[in-house]
Amino acid sequence: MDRAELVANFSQELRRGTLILCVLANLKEPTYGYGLIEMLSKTGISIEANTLYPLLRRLEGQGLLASTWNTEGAKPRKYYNLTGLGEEVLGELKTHWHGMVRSMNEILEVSDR
Amino acid sequence: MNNEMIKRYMYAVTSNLPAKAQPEIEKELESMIEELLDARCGDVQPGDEDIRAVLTELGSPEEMAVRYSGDENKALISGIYLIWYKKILRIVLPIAAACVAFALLLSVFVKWQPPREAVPYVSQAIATIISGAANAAVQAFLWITVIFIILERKKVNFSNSDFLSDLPPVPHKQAQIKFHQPIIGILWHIAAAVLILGFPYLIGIYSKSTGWIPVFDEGYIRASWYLVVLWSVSEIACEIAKLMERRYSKRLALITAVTHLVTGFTAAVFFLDNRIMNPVFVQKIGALFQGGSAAKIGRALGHGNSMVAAIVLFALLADLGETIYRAVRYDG
Repeated sequence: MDRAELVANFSQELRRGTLILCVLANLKEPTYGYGLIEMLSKTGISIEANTLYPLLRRLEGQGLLASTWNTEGAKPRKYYNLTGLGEEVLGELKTHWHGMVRSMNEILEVSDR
Repeated sequence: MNNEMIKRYMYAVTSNLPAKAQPEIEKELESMIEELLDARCGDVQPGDEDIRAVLTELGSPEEMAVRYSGDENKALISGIYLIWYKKILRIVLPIAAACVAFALLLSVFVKWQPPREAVPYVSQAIATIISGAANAAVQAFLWITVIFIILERKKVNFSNSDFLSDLPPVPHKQAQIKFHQPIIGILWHIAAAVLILGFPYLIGIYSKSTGWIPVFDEGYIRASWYLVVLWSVSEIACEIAKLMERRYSKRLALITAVTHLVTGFTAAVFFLDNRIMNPVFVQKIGALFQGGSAAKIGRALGHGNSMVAAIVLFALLADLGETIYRAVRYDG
């Protein structure tokens, strides 16, 4: 495994851990799958459809998201948004995230000295 | 979205998932593919190339099913390996159990020496066959498990880069063969062979005056055992083909025609030979039904072998007819 591949793997690992937080944070308003891909893409987070759709389904199964089928348009679309439990979990995850960012910044500052 | 390739893709994904979740995931998949095609083509009607590109991007149906099942890296055998592991277990386990049960039946039959005490002999023989079949299934399970653990550890690649060309057509509901149907068929053929070869004296009639009289002649059955084995093997092969095909197809119709031809021929040779009838049965039946129309019944019962042959041939023809009809109608 060469260096570029190693970095790509580590970077993917880092990103994978943040995906759920990204998804939950963008679902305060009802959004359909591809709409969410576009929203995340605008902020520089790319997520593949074959990862996102099953993830949305899993989060719904865990009670963090609720879904409704919108059949008003030409094609039916499944919209997801946060449940009460989802909002609580998102709040706690954000606290963990901010704590982790502070810790990581300290660690990285020390390593830069 | 009315595209054959998309339909095949969705079917290939959902057929690897639990039946309960299939309708909802199918709907989700359809909506997801439409959203991706809309994003790619906008208002322009997507062409085959666009559909191929979107489906290729999603990954093979097995990979997609793994993502939906959430079985990624959870156990010794996980992800795409788990899907193939389950598929292979479902086919190999019943086949291994059926083959060993049949082999044990033959061994029980060969070792059979009259005179014997019927009840202990029957119960011991059935116990031997069942425990042998269960043992074979456990052995097959262990070996397949070990092989798949090694395959997963070695990360052997199961994906086919050109999976879109290999997607099987979606079977019509009437063309689907449920998993339990061939399993019941295999059990039925084994049970029939056990009865005819091992315990033919259990097929008989009872009257107060004559006591229990077996219908068939055990000596003839012992001499013609290979015919029973031949048709049982042929019919079990047909059920195994159903188990692997899981749909009424032209290929299955051809296999059914060949196996039923073998069965029909061997069963006809076996049952149409009058030596199969127990002479004592024929004589007693003749004595029981005397005079007028009763004598006709007596003669008919005395030639019960011809009736059995006719029923077997009718059943084979009916099954073949149904298989061909469904294959021609639903296997485009």
